[in-house]
Formats: sequence, structure tokens, C-alpha cells
Amino acid sequence: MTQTMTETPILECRGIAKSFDGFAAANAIDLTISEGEVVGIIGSNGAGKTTLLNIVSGHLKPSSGQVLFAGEDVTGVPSRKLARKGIARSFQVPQLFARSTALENMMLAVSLLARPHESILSRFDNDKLAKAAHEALAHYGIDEHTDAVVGELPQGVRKLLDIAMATAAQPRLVLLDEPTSGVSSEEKHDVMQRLADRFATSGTTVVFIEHDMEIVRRYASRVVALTDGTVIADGAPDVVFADETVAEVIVGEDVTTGGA
Amino acid sequence: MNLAQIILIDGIAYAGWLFLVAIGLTLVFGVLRLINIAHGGFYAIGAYVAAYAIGASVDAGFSTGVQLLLAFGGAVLVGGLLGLVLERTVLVRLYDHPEVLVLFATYALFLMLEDITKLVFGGASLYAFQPRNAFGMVDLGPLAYPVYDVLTVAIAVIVALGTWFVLNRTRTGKCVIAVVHDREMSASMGVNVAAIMTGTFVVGTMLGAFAGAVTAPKIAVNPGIGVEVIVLAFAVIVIGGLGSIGGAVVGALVVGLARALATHLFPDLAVFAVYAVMALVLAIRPYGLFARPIARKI
Amino acid sequence: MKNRLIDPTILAVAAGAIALSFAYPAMPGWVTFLLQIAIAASLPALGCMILLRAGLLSFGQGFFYFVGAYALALLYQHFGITDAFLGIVVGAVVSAVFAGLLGFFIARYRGIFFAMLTLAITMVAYGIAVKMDLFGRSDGLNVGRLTYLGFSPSREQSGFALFLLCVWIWAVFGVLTHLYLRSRFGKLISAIEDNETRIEYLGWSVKKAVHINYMVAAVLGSAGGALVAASAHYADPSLSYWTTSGEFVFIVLISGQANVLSPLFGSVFLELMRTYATAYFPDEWQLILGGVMLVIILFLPSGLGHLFVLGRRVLLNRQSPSQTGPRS
Repeated sequence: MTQTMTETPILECRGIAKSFDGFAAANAIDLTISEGEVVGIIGSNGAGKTTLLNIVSGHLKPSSGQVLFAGEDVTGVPSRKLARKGIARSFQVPQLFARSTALENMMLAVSLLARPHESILSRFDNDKLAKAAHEALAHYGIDEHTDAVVGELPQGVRKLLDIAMATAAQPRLVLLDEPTSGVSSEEKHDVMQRLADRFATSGTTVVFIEHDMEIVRRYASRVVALTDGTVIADGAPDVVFADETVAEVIVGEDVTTGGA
Repeated sequence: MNLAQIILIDGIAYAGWLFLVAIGLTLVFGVLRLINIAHGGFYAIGAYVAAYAIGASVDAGFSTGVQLLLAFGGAVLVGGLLGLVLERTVLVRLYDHPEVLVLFATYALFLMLEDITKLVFGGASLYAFQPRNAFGMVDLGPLAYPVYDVLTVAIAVIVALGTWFVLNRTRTGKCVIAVVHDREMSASMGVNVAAIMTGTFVVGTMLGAFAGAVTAPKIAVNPGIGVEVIVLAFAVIVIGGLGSIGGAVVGALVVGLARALATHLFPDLAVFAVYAVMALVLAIRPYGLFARPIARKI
Repeated sequence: MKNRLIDPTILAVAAGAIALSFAYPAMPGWVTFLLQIAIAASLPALGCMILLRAGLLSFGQGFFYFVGAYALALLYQHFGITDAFLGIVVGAVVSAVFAGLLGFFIARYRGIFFAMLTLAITMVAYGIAVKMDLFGRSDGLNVGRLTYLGFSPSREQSGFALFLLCVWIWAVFGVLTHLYLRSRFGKLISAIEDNETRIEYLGWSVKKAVHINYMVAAVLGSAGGALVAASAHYADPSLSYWTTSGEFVFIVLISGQANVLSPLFGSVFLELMRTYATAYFPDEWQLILGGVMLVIILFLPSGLGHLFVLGRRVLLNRQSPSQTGPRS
């Protein structure tokens, strides 16, 4: 995808701040992301990464600041509306319908998200939806699990299902909250590779929170480091990882050689 | 004495009664996460036992003090025993069921208790005015108020202070608070959660029966008195926040004053007053004034 | 769950309605009366069922039962309007309006809160109604013979006409509710109890969905109310008393939530139970009712309907879980 200087960035955060009862979870965050970028967000626990995602995806209203999506001010717009505008979000703890099977989960996602032009009162078409759901699951490589009840699936599959459901309607911006956390080390690269393939072909912008620096290094074209609710570094992975402030603050992670 | 003072006195008197009625309900919710609809049934049973005890004591020629002792003691005893039986046989099997199902089970228990009360005590109204009359009246300014009603407020204050003391200054009380905050964590720290739950439920039913006993000398005791109490008690504790003792005090005061205001100024709306206040509070604070914030899930 | 060419539930409802219509002359008066009352009560119970799909227990369907019944009764007494269908429509509209207004407040809540607030609403309504002459105080209002879009049945015909009214109003609402539950919105409702956050992130407001669901349940309640007022020939405030609402929940508990036909079976069972209990144990009705409720909750949480579902599974030899997945 070619980009010109005058193209509107897909996401702009201007001075995002969020306080909970005096605790500043986010503190004047400025961030501009262009369409097609793959941005990794790093920072120690409590740095404000998930809060930022919560704000951008409409789950929380910022105490101050603005969020612009493709030039449109979406500050404070609730998540259900942002989902329809093309912002998808996955969760640290996969948000699934635990009592249903993977296929049923995906069918519901397709039914609710991907077909807004049909009336919500129209029949829940099992055949059509099962077909579409199968396809979606296959794209993420988890279609062998269609009949398993979600509560019994391994974490890696649950994470992928979570992402598959969120992306049922070809979003423009995908926010992934620790896509590989809780996933076994063998599965981690599998998961990330699938996601990379999936999103690269569609040119979707990806912002992902990650603790595993090797993953960040391998898959992100840009890294943003957060600490205490502010951005302390923002640029190409090599540049950010070489930054001493980043190494100092992101405790326990050896950023120069990779690995958590 | 002006109208404002009269409303204040009436409001506080009513608040005292409301607190006694509601405290058991909110305690049980705090620990068991359950609104015990059968609480109304225990209230009625307490009133009946008290009325019966007073009647029998009067016939036996006992003094007022003894009458009340037997009435209150009897009610608390019966309420406690019955509560113990119900918790051990029915409720304990339901703790891992969905909360609405357990709520409905307490409703089923209430229906049963109402019929049992009718079968044991008969359907006619019982009267036990003797202790209240015996205490006579006291002059609050130009207003003559029944001493017994003033005593009710005093009893409510004692119960409130007693509850606060037990919860905050005794070891058992602190275990209860721990269970309220986090059942699993408390269990892993050696707290006997099952005993605390049973114990709290029994205390709750005893308090419900006690409230009925205290009320008995003021009313015509009949099988229907339990129903009004449940919705009223819920409205009171929800205003302060379910499970909060301080909230129950505040809720009782707010509702008591609101109702006194309504009774004196807009008598036709007195019935509404309680629910109007509840709706108003919930509109601003959806879970009550002192409800604890819920931790972030995602 | 494959799509079926002909929906078996709709077929069953239609077949049942036709069968009942033709069976009327052969049934004794007490049977048809019991059926009418059972049909009337099954509609608000159906309302409870759709609320339970979202995990919400309502102790307040009785309020809408009351509204529907009084819409008919007040039109009859104060405006001399005897048309049954108009009565049902007016009741439905008034109920929808009430539910629309109350819903803004109540749709924020779940679980115990939701249940207790619906209880408060229905008891406040009772408290007001029982003191007002407009509602006939505790005696209620009478409802005489109804007309049907201009057709005024004779004394001999009116019993049959009333029976047909009950059966076919139930059939229509049953089918509509089935289509509602079978729709994409119905699936959304079924997922609410499982994960609200996920639904919001799939683009839908859970609060609005609950609000709408509450209104649909209200309309069902009021339809039942109109039928009970028509059948019993009076409406009284006890319809809004909490025990009435409790009985609707009991009906759903007993019959399970398999599909829209279930509440009818539960309702018939309740009426039979009531008939025998009031004949042999008039002073112990609540004891019996409460006892049966407890037994069901303790030992059969999915209700007797669960027994039917188990039986079906054995008969049809279904193996894989996805076949018996979310309810239709």
C-alpha cells in the first residue's frame, strides 16, 4: 500500500489521559498511526497499555484528550459503535460465549457483526452462517475445533477464536491485547504468523500489546513504549530497543537480546 | 412544637423500625450474596411468637419486663432454630445454583412459612398491646409519644452499635468481613466459610424474628404482615447499598424521614414515598449510596 | 442445527390450535374453562421465559397481566367497548408504553436486582390499585360478554367464541414469539447471560436488547391478562400481587424452556394442581405450591421439560453436542 504525506492517519490519539479515583492510568498520550502499520506496544504491568486500548476501542471514556479514527472524532463513542466503524479488539482474557461451541461462537459473531444490512429480526440462518463461520475459523486455522465447547479449548485456540470473532467484518484497525499471553511457547509463533499473514494481505492496521520482545521485534514495524501512562519511546524496533530509558524502565525484560 | 419537629420525631421513630426490619436482610446479602425473601416470613413468625408469649404471660400474671423477655427471647429462639434448619437442609444445596434460582427458592420458602404460620397460629389476628400500654406515654414538647415507640428506636440503636462492634472488634466479625470481601481468599486463609455462612444466615433470621417481636405490641398480628416487609426492607437496604450496615442506617433514616414528610404533607402519596426515594437514589447511584465499585473485568 | 423446511414448532402450534378448536364440543365445561385459564397464564409465563433466556428473572409479569386485564375491563365498564380484539390491542399498547418507560430504568440491572425491582413495581401497582375505585378496589371489575369485530355471539355461541379467542390468540402470539426467538435478535438475547462485553464488541447495545426484550415480555403478559379477564369475566388487583408473578415463574421452571409450547404444559399442570389442592387441601395451597417449587429447584433445575428433552435425545439417538446446542 502506498502512502502519501497528506493521507489521514488511521488512528490519532491526542493528549489521552485517564484517571481512576486519582490514579493516573494514562497521562497525555500522543500517538499517530498510519494505515497498514503494525505497531507493538510495550511496557511493564500497569503502564497503561490496556487502558489505552480500552479507550481507543470505546470501552472507557478518557478523562481528557481526543481519539480520531480516520479523521473522525470518536472520543467517548461506545465500543459497539466503533466495532461497526471498523475497529476490532481482542482481549487479554478471551471474551467468548463459554457455554457454546467454537462454531456457534463464530456464527453469532458473523450474524451480529458482519451483516448489518439485514434486519436483526430476520431468521438466524443456520446453514449460511455455519458456512461463513467455518470459513472464518479456517482462516485462523482453528476449524478443527468447531464442535468443542469453548470452555474446554486450549488457550491458543481461544485467543485465535477471540480475534476471529472480533475481525468477522473486515475491520480497518485491529487492537490486540497480548495475543500470545498464556499461549505455550510452541504455539506463540504459530499464532503470530497466522495473524501476520491474515492482516498483511488485507492491509489492516494492527496495534498489539506484547510482553515477549522477540515477538515484537519479529512482527512489529514500529514500537511504542509506555510507562506510568506516558509514551517514552516511539519508533522502529531497533531504535526503541537500543534506548536506555526503555531498557531501564521495562523491568525484567532484556530488550537488547530479546526474550522475556 | 412545629411541624418540622413532629416530622423529625415521626421520621426517626419509623427509621428505627425500618432499620430493625432491614438489618437482617442486608447482613445475609453481604455474606451469602442472597436476598432472603423468606425474611418476611421470619418477621411474621417472630411477631406471632411474641404475641403468643405476651398473651400467655399476661394470663400467667407476669410483669411487663418478663412479658417482653419471653416475647423477644422466644421469637429469637424460634427464628434462629428455624433459620438453622432451613439453611442446613435447603439453602446449603443451592449455593452453586444461579443466584436468581436461589432467590426464587427463598420465595418458595416464604410461601411455605406463611401457610405454616397460619396452620400453627390460626388465621385470625392476634393482639398483644399490653406491654406497649404498660409503658405509657412521654411528653416530647407538647406531643405525647408512646414510650414503647421511643424504646424501639433505642433498641434499633443498640442493635446497630452491637452489629458494628461484633463486625469490627471481634475476631468472628473480622472473619465475616473477610468472607464478604472474598470467599475463596478467606477459605484459603483458614476461615471456616461454611460456618460463617450458616451463622450469618441464622443471625439474619433471628434479627428478622426479633424485628417482628418488637413490632408485635404495636400492630394487629396476622398472616399477611410478612409480605409488606420484604419489599420495604429491600428498598431501604438498596438505597444504602446491599450488604452495607452503614448503608442500612442511612437508608432507614432517609426512608423514615421521607415517609414522615409524605404522611404529614401529602398523605395520599405516603405509599409512594419509599419507592420514589429508592428510584431517585438508584437513578444517580445505580447500586446504592455506599455500594462498592466493581473491579475491571477486561 | 440444520435449517428445516417446515418449522416443527409452528406446525405443532397450528396443529394444536386446530385440534383444540374441533375438540371443544366434546369437552366438559370445567375442562374448557381450565384450558382457557391455563392458556391465559401461559402467555405471561412465556414472557418470563424470554426474559430467562437473557438470564433475567422477572417477579413482575403480573403487572402487565393486570394491565392487559384492566384494559379490557375498563374499556368494557367505562366506555362500553366490548370488542375483544380492541381490548387486547389497547392492553398491549399500554403495556408496551409502561415497559418502554420502566425499561429505561430497569434494563440497567441484572440478577437479583432486576428481580427485586420488578417485584417492587408489581407490588406498588397492587398497593395503588387495591385502594382505587377505578379498579374496583379489592373486588375488581366485571367483564361481560365480548364481541368479535362486530360479530356479537348469542348466549350459546359465546362460550365457544371465547374458547376460540383464547386458543387462537395464544397460537398467534406463540408463533410470533417463536419467530422472535429464532431470529438473529433472539440469538443475541440468548447470549446476554454468557458474555455481555462480547456482544457490545459485536456491535449491539445489551441494555437496548434487554429493554426491548422486557417490552416483548410485557406485551405477552398483557395478552394473557386480556384472556384471563375475558374468561373469568372479571379483573381484580390480585393479578398484580407478587404471588401471581411467582406462579408464572413456577410455570417456566416446571416446564423448562425448550420452546414456546413449554409454558402451556406447565400452566395446565399448575391449574390441575390448583384445582385438586383447593378441593382437598384448601388451607395448604401455598405450602404445597412452595413445596413443589423447592423440589423442582433442588432436584430438577431444568424443570420437567428437561425430562422431555432427555427422552427426545434417547429416541432420536443424537450424539454430537452441536446438534443439541443452543435452544431454538
